[in-house]
Amino acid sequence: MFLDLLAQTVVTGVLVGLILALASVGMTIIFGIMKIFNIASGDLVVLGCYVIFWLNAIFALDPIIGFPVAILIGVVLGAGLYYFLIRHIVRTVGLRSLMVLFGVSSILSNSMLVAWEPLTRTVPVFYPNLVFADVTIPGNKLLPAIVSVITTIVLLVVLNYTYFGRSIRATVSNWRAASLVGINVNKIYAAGFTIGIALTVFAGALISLVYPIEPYGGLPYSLYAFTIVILGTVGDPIGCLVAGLIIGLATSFTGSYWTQGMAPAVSYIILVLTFLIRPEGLFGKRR
Amino acid sequence: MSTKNLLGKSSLIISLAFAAVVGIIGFTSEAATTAYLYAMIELLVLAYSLNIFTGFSGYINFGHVIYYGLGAYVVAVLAFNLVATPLPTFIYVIAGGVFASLVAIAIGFPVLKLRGDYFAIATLGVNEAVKVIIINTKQLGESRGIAILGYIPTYDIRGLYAMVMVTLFAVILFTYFVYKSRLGYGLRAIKDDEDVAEAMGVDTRKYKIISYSLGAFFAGVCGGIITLLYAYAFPDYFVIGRTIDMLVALVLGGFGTILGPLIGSVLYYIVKDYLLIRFPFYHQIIFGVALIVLVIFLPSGIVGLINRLLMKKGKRFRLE
Repeated sequence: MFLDLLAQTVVTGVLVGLILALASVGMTIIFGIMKIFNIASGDLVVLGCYVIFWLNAIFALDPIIGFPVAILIGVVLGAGLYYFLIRHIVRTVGLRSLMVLFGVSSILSNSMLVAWEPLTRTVPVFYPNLVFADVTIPGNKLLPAIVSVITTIVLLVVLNYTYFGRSIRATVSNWRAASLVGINVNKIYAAGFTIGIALTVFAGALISLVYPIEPYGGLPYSLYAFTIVILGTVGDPIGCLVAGLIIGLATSFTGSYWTQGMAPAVSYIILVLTFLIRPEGLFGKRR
Repeated sequence: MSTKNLLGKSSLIISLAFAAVVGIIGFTSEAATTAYLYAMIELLVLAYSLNIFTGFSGYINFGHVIYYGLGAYVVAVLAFNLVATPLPTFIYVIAGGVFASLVAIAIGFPVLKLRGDYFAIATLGVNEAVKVIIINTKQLGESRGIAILGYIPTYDIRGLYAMVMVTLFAVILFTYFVYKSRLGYGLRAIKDDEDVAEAMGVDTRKYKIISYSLGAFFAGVCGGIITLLYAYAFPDYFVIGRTIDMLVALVLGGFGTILGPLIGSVLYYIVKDYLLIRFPFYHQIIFGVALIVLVIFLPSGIVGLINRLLMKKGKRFRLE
């Protein structure tokens, strides 16, 4: 009994952590490049959830087919946001970008509320569970976790082995120096922001298989993503995976051995502690 | 030929005069108007209390509503436990403010080490953590909250209105004195460049903690009064939207000024109320668009805009 619960807790924690990690990868790229905290991230996650939900409800499409659609919507939305808003506020003081993105968050959540009613919904799709002795690996969590890891690996390959990816990394470490060696920083901003938003919406598509959806349910996802980004060092996708695992396990253990209600608080406390003890994150270098 | 601004004295007089006029209107009209004005005055006090730290020092605080909620809970707990020997309610309210400012010192001590966006996100995290902890504390009624009806003297909106008016006068005067004092100069130096301020001998850490806890005191008082008004303290007092209301009011009026919170809150309150009634389903969309437009095109708020116009006309008078 004791071991079963422990094993089940670990399995759930790992899977949930890997899924949450992808939502933070989008945020970490945006923050790394532009030093903007995407406070609307949670609402974009919810938007991604709704994409899958409606494709399933109207066309009876399997979520796997919905994933590319979610990415496409994310790309369009990200490019649009960049062109109309973010372009004007890059490299200004933190407050302005936070407030503008808060405005975006408010518009998104209210639009979803008006368009799709304030109901809590779930995507009624079930993938087969894997059962080992007394431990169940739920298919609805396993599939998104695998997709999340694959996406992060693809992203890492792009960042490390292509010219485009290298110029993104150069911009992350120092945009002035990057522009001096001939990188078009504004293009990198546009591309990075678009990729970040697309990844966030895509992560939402994955999360739709795990959690129920509601129009105003975005803030916790934003806060989880902040925690993971800070804990895993800003601008580092691998850090996101590791930190995602830590947060996933922490919340899952709180849920199993204490109360489910305290799980978010534990994650927020980890956020504040990270800020205080190791603000540069797990893998950061001390300046 | 220096710029004439009398260190904000004219702005102070305008603010106090406005507060006095609103106060008289609130006292002489019927209860519905008093209640409407009460909510406006509350936003004013909260915006001023946020202004003391966030406005002057430039640190964005997403967690200011913690102190509002703590003040509310302190009053509820006191009223509940002192039912045998009730004290005058204003003592509960002041206790709420004091408790809030003590907690602010405890929270501010570690969190104020952070700067910029990191501070903003950390306060957001602290806010949600406090809220979740209160929801899960059995002694504080979990998500039901604490109802104190029957534990406090009879419901009296005029008395509570008087209480919140006194708080408003206090916070306006206080803002003025902070603005004029060494603390205010220190905080503005921090806003311009914290490293330079520190190098010039400003004790940045002390100044930040003092102003942070002073702002928390007024927020706590405000929360205490709302508990008396609703006879109820519940976790929704910690909702982040209230902090956002204050921040928007500050952005609209002008950060770190004496007149800014007043203009911003009054305008924001009236417009928001109108939108809520006129477009009950879409008001947050309109609000989001307005916020974005405001931040992009009017970064220094209405006070900044007026000052720019005054400068263009060659006037040497500035609003503070």
